[in-house]
Amino acid sequence: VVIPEHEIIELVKAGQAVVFTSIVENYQKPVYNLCYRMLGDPFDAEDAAQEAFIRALKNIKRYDKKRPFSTWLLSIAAHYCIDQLRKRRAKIISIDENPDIHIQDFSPGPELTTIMSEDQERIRKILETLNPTDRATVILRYWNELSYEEIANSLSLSVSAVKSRLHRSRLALAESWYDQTSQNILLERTTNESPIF
Amino acid sequence: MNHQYFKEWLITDEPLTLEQTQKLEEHLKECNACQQLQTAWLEVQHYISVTPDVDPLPGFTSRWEERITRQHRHAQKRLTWIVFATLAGIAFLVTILLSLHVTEFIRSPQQITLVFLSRFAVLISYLTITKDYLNFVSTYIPKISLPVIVFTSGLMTLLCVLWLATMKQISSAWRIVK
Repeated sequence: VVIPEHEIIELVKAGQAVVFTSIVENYQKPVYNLCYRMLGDPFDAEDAAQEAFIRALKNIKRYDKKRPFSTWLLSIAAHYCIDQLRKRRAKIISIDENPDIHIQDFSPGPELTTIMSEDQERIRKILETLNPTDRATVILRYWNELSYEEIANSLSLSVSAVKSRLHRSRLALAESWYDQTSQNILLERTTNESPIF
Repeated sequence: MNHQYFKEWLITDEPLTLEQTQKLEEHLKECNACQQLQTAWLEVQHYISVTPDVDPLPGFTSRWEERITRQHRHAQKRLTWIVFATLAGIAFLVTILLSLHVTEFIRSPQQITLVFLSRFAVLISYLTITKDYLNFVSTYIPKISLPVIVFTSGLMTLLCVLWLATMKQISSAWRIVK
């Protein structure tokens, strides 16, 4: 018997936390993908996605029925990833001040790299050039297809702030993409050049 | 017209007017930088749309269940320690307060020690008496015949019951009110 989502939420609110596993089962993919695109690392993404579900379960009583559950869940995941990216940045700054500390490599492992095409990898890299909130805005808009209002609600921003962040991000992404393309062309020319000339 | 406007129009989400579209098309014919930006943005949009979703590793839900169980256990453990530490702290505080209170009464510790020693001596004397009594009973009981022992025990039990009943009657509320 498939229990409707709103009934599951009501059951969880009533204290039956066990049924929340079906929510985890249903939403693991979108939440994981959001976290993966935000953090760019499969292990960090799994950790963030699991933590997002735990936070959702703990705060289920705050969930407003009027909002779509998926948007609420994605907003929890996005906020958690933004916090993680800020912490990561703070860590990198402190490492810069103390170069003896080992620097963690956030690039995907060899297995994942082979699966991802070169262009998808480039998309991941240019996403990393955006600041955490802009990155979340772009992901929620272009991958999760949320409206401006939904993004604004999810990230606690105004609609005009979302629009301006998206505009700025689009320009940054296009420019980064162009820069990377130019660099790749230059690299290819250098590699293919005959040593005689 | 300012080059920046065309850059804005190239990447905007808002629909352009017919006039804006015509001006942009004209500009694109002669501006190489804007052409490159347009191509770049179109490519980015294309790759965003074709990027497939990644599946989490199998067993995500069971790992989540394990994680939440672990967190719950950890929270319970922490709560237990907090309660224990709080109670221990309260007990310690009470002990300190009592000690402070008692020291006010103990003007002369020698007197308290003497009282304690005398009470201890009394306790020892009681123990000696009990020991003598038990020696007496163990020596003479075998010489008394069985019916006498049964009769004496019965009589003593009866007297005890009577004593208890009397005590109850005397100490009852009704009796006190009367």
